[in-house]
Amino acid sequence: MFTLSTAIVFLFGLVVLLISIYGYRVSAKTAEDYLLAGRALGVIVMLFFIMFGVLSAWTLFAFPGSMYLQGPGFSMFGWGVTIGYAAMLLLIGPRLATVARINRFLSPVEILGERYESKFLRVGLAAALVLFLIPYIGVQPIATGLAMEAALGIPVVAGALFMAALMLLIVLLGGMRTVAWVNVLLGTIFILGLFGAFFWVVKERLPGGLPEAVTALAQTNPGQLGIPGPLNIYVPLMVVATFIAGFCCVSFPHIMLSTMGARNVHVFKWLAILFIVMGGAIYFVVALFGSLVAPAVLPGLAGKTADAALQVVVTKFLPEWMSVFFLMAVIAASISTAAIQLMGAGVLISRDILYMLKREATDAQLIRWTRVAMVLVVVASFIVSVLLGEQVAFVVVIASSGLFIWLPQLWLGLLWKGATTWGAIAGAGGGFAFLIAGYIYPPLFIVPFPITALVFGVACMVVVSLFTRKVSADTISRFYDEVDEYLELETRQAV
Amino acid sequence: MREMTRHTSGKVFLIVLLGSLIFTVMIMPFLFAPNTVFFGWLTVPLLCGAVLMLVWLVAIVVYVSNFWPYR
Repeated sequence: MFTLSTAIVFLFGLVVLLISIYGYRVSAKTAEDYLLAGRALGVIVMLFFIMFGVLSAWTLFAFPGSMYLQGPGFSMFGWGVTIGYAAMLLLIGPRLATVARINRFLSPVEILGERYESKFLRVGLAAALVLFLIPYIGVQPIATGLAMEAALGIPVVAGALFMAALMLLIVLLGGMRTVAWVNVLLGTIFILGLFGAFFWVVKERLPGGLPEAVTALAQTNPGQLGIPGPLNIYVPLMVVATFIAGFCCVSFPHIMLSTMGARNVHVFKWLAILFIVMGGAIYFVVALFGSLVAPAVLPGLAGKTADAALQVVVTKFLPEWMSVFFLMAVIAASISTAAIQLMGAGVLISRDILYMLKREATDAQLIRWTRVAMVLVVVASFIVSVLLGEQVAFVVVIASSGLFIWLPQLWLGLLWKGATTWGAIAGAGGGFAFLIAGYIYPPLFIVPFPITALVFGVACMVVVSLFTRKVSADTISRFYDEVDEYLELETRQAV
Repeated sequence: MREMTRHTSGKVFLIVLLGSLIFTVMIMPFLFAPNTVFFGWLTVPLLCGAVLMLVWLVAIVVYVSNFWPYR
């Protein structure tokens, strides 16, 4: 049935489409423009671009849902994500973007391939990261389809196809610039939906404010007011591991790609500051909503309903239009993340796999390959989601873990001159092997989440690097001396 | 990060970031009795997060405004 709510959602789709068409009209039709927005993104667009590439529908669903059931201990994940990205933007962001600009690199894996002088590492890492991205991309339209079914009565498949079509249009038409612009709109909807719903629910259901929620929970579910939580999950090791797992999200390849679109080094200092302000505020409100307000005003949810605790609370206590607006925030979170992931997967396939087979490819060919790759990735991710059914959530957990494993190659490659080719291969191979072994035989994961695999990968990389041949002096010069000179020159010119 | 390790203020900055991270994640959450609530509504994990964000925010603003070589 076509209701006003449905019309609002489709109007939202139309606005996104118009932005995409505008992005296509103003783009320069070069590979650098299509893949990296011409390396010209400023502070605000970059902030929304990265922030809402990181914050997916999970931030409004399973994340607060876990806190609804397990207490506020899981908020450590949000602090880890925020601190991780602030650290990345300040500690390696300027160097990553500068080395890419000087050498005209178009992908973060291309940077590693050149840094370690290894085509094998480049193609292998790109293929592995694409494989890990596919289930992650597939789950976003499905989640949106489920949310649209719950709020609007639209069939899941129709909602998922709507989302997939919108996502494809954004990336196919304008590339990274359009994704970045659209993320400003989507991020604004996300913030208004989340903050509006939170303050409205508190005003409507808790006249005494948040202390009233604490009083209610102290009587009915006191474990909800701290760690280790009502299910006794957040023991010290779990608290630390949860923070580290959040921090490791900094390795998402699609976010690394978007970092390369920054206009100059000054963008990064503002990004680090604003990321803490905005990310901290968003995670703080989600944590309050999920761990305190929702369990106080609507206790007793379980299973998948608890996962959607925020949407359930908003739908139950606020007017229908606000419920639809909150749903749009969920859709916005899904699209903003999935579009960047899709862009990232497309670039990895075209630039790091196909380009290695035919190195004289023109810009037009590279753009065409990226577009075709993105369509194929969407199809593949849909098939994977459908085939996996209920198992998709578990596979996404493994896939997310897989995206962590290249963290040492990236950070050490940019910061440590002593990182060698064989060290990087050993680190990546060791990390992936440990990860797979750990999922087959879980006792190998001594620490919760795949942190043990990451530590093993770092150890392999450092030890092997100490005993193997260094990369050439020319490469060291390109990745360290020339970057230092460029950054100093850029700073002097700005002064 | 390489540029930060080349001068004293950069090293102090990195120590502050790392120290605050270790304190708020590994020590502070376990300093209080279970279910301690501050200001009538702020639970311990949220307080730890707020303190961590605040320390990092102040440290970054001070460092990038006054000491960062690329400021």
